[in-house]
Amino acid sequence: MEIEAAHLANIVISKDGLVFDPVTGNISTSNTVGTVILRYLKDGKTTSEIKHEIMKTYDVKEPAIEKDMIDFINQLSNCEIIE
Amino acid sequence: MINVAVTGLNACDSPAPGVPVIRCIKEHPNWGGRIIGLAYDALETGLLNPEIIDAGYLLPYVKDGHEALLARIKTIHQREKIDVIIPNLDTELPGFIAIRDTLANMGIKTMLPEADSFKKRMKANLPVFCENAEIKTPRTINIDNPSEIKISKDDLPIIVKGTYYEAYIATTLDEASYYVRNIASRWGYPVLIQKKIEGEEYNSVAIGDGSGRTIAIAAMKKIVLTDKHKGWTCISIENKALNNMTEKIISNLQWRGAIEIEAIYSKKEHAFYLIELNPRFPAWIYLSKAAGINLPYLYLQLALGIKPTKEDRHRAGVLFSNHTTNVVTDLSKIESLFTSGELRYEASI
Repeated sequence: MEIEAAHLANIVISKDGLVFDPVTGNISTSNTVGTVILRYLKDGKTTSEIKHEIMKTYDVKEPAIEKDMIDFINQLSNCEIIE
Repeated sequence: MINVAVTGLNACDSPAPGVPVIRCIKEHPNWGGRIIGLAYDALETGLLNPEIIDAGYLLPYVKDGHEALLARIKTIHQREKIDVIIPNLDTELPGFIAIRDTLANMGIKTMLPEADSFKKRMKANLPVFCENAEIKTPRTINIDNPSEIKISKDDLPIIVKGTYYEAYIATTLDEASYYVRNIASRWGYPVLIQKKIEGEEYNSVAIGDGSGRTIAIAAMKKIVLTDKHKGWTCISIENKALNNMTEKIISNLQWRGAIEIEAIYSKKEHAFYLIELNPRFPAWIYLSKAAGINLPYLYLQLALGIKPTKEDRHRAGVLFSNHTTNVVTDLSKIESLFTSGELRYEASI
């Protein structure tokens, strides 16, 4: 799955996980893994590539990371950070 | 040394724009002048603070007409040699527009719109303007008679608005009827009934040069609202769609001076709806300066006919919040406002 990166490119992510969208003015927060995923999305990686990156770094099984990523991406969509 | 007269000095719970306009001007590195506060009441808070104004004068009420306004400005001008007047209140603007040419002949500069442009953006005329300019706006009905409120339960909730000020959300027909009468008792008819658009509130402020060109824009999203639905905490944004709408409005109105655009973003339709056009700086104008573009100082330069200094880029992510504090003064220091309608803080000028 590819995520539209045009809007994402403008998203500001602080090192502590504060996420600011300069287009909509929306402010949200993210945990460490969420911040990592957002940074990968900003870099234009696909969800499959991100999944493998996460599995390399964290001790997590593929079905769990897949479900969590879908939930997280739905949240990003609700916040209009991705379309 | 220039003398700039500014109105709208009441920084109360629903603040007028005058005090933040003055702060923007005085904090510009090139500023070197005096501020003349113009007010309609001796207790407008900006008059009480010598850090805001150098001198203050009371104006006649708007209902007294523009001839009374002109006579008063002439008196003040004899004392202060005003270079520029920046009016900041909706209700006073028709009067200042009416006397603009006379002011210009007296050497007082303004940046005011044409009367026709001013009328086109009035709340009662906004639907026609938006239709012609192909801008989305909620369906609006003008109510001239409280017995003819033609809405059904399916239309609810709605926003009931006065021509100049006040807006309330009505969730029942009884509430709608009450708000129509209530607003009309203060501001007269028509009262407007507007379909409520679900979404988040965004505002922009811009300056037009009168030829249709936009000189500069600043935009924000409201984060915290007051019970009167005014933005209390806001954050600066950079939104191309909102900026495009702002430029389109200025171009269509051939707007001269400052204008505030109030819009709601409908997530359902992925589109901005224009809610109101206010013919002046907003009370949140200090955010524009904090975010890199000092719109009041640009306005001042344009009024004076000098080339505007280059401003920084408008930065998104600057948080702005109103923050109430107290102003104290000795009655003896402001007694002349009550007795003669004028006040000077300087020992000499």
